[in-house]
Amino acid sequence: MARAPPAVPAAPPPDIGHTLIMATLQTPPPTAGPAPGVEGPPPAPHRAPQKPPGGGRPPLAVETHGLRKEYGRKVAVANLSLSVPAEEVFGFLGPNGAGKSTTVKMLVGLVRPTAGGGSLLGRPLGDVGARRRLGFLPEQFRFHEWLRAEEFLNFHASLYGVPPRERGRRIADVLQLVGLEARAQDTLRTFSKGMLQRIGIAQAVIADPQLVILDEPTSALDPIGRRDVRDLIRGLRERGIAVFLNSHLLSEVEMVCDRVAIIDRGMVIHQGRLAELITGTLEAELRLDALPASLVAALEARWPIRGTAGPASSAPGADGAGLWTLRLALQDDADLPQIADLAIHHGARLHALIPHRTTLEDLFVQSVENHDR
Amino acid sequence: MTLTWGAGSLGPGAGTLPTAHSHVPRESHELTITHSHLPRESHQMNAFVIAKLTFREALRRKALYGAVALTVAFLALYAWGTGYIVRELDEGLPQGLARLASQSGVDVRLLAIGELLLAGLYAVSNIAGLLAIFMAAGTISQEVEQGTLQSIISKPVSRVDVVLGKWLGGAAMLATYVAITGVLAAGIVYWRAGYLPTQLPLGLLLLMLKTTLLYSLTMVGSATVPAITTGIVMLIVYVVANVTGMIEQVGVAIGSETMVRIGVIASLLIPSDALWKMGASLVQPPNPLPALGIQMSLGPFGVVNPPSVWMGVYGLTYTLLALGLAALIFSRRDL
Repeated sequence: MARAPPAVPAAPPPDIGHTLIMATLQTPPPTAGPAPGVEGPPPAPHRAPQKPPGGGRPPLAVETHGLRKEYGRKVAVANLSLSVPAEEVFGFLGPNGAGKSTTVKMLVGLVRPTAGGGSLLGRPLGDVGARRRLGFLPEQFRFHEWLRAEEFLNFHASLYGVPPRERGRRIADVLQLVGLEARAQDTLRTFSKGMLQRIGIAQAVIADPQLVILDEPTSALDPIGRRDVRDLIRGLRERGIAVFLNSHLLSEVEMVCDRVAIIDRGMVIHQGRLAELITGTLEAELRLDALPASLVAALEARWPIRGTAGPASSAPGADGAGLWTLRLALQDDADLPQIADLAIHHGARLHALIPHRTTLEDLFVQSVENHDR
Repeated sequence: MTLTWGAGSLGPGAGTLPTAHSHVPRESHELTITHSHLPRESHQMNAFVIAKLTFREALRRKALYGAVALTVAFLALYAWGTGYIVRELDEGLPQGLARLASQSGVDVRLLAIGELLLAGLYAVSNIAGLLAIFMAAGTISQEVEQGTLQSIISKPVSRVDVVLGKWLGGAAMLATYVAITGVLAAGIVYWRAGYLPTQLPLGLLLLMLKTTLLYSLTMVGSATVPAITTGIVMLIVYVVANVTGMIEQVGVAIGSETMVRIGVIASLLIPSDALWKMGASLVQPPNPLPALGIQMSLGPFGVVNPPSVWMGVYGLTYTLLALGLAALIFSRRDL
C-alpha cells in the first residue's frame, strides 16, 4: 500500500512574550469553576517552552551518549546515542529484544545505566528534577486498581506537585481528553484494558509536561482509540511538547513522527528525519500485455529499470498473471501519466500502473536485515 | 475548541478521518490544560503522598478485614473471659494462690489480674507483629512485580521517597492498630477488675516500636526479593526471636548463663521480643517473687529481667538503620 510521507512542518516558534502574558491572564481564580474548554471558550494559549537560561535554542528533549546496560553477562543495550529534539514527535523502533524497553526505562529512571549517560530536558539522566516535566506511559500500564479514576489522577498530580486547588480542573481536563469523564468515580478495577491505557495517558499529561514518553500507547486500543491517540500526539506536538513514541506499529509511527531512530541489538542503526529517510525512492510498477523493445528503450532513456518479469514468472490466477511486469525508479509521481502515454504509444496495453513508495516498514526491515547480516 | 475522546466530540475535525496527508486543524487538538505552572519544589512532600496512599490502601483493600474481624472476636472473648476470671477470684482465691498469699503476704489478686492484662497485650503484640510482617513483605516487591511503581518512579519522586512513604504509611497503620487494640484490652481489664497500669502509654509505645521494627526489617526483604520469600524468612525469624526470648526467661529462673546468653545475642540480632519485654515490664504489677529469692516471672507472659532502657535506644536505632538499608537497596535496584 502506497502511503505519502507525513510531511509535517515543524511547529512555528511561539512568541514567548505574548504567551507569557496570555498565560498570566489565563491563570484561573483560586475558586475552581467548571473546567475551561468544556463549553468551548477561546483556545488555550500556546505554552511557553522552557528555555535554557540565556536564551538560544530549546535544549534537546533527550540526549544520550554511549548508553549501555548489562544484566549479568547479557548486554541489553550496547552503545546507544540518541538525540531527540524538543517539540517533535520521535519514533523509537526496533525488533523485539533490541533494547527499546530497557532504553526507555533508563530514560525515565527505572533502570540505572551500566555505562554512558545523557540528559533529559536539560538535566542529567536519573535526576529526579528532570522528571518534573516528564510524562510517561509504561508499556505494562498497571496501576493501583483499587483507586477510583479521579483519585488515581489526583494521586499522580500530587506526585508532580500540582497544587491541590489546581488538581480538580486538571483532572477534569485530562479525563475529557481521554474520553473517560463519565467514569471518574469508578474504580480502575472495573476498567477495560483500553480504558486503563487511556487513563494511563491521562496521568502522563496531567502536569503539563515538556516531554511525553509513550511506550506502546495503543497496544490495547481499537482502531478508533488508535486514531484518537494519533490525534492526541499531534495535539501535543502542536503545543510544543516533545513526544517519544515507542511503537511496533510502523504505519502509526509513519503517520505521526517527525523523526525516527531504528535500533537493533542495543545500537542505533538509523536515525534521522522521517521525510529524509523514506523519500527519494519511488517506484512505478507497470503491468503490460506485451513488452516491445522500443518501449523498453523509450522507458530506459528516462527512468532506470529496476526489474522486468515475463508472463511465465507469475503463477496462473495470480495478480498480473500472463502479463509483463516492469519496475521503474521515478523521481516524481508526476511522471506517471507520461509512462502511460509511452506504453500506449508503443502499442502495449497497460493493465496496471502502480506507484510504490518506500515505507517505513521497508526501511525498517532493510536496515535490521542488513545489520544482522 | 477542545479535543475530547470518543465519537462526536472531536471538535471541528470530527467525522473526518485523519489521513496521512491531512493536517488536522490546530484548534481541534488544543488541550484544555491551559496555563503553564512550574510545580513547586515539593520533594519532601512526596513521601507523605505515598504514605497516605499506603495507609488508604491498607484500609481500602480487603486484605486487612480478616485481621480486624478476628481482633474484634478476640477482644469480645477477652472481655467475656476476663469477667469470669475476675468473678472467680473475687468469690474465693484458688488453692495455689491462697497458699502464696498466706506465705508471702502479697496481693495475689492484683498479680493474677496483671497476668490477665499481659496475656491480652501479648496477643495484641503478636497479632501486630505478624501483621507488620505480612504488610511489609509485599509493600515494595509486589508493586515491582505488578509494575505499578513504574508510573510513580518516573515522576519527580525519589526512591527514598517511595520507601519512606511506604514506611510511614505502614507504621502509622500498625501504630493505630496497636493503640486501639491495646487501649481496648487495658480498658476491658480496668472495666472488669479496676486495674490500670500508669505506665500503659509507654508500654504501648514500646509495642509500636516493636511492630515498626519488624515492619522496617521486613521492608529490607521487600526491597530485595519476592514477597513470599521475605514473608517466610521473617516469620521464621520472628518465631525464633520469641522462642529465644523464652529461653532467656527460663535461663534467668534456673540460673543458666548459657541460656541467658543465647537470649541476649538473639535480642541483639532481632530485638522484637526484647521490646515486648520492655513494654510488658512497664504494665505488669510489681513482682514480689525476686524479693522472696525466686527469680521467676509472673506467669508465662510476665517479665523477670526487663531489658535496660538501652534496649529501647537500640531498637529505635535498629529500626532506622533497617529503613535506611531498605532505601539504599531499593535506590540501586533496576525495575
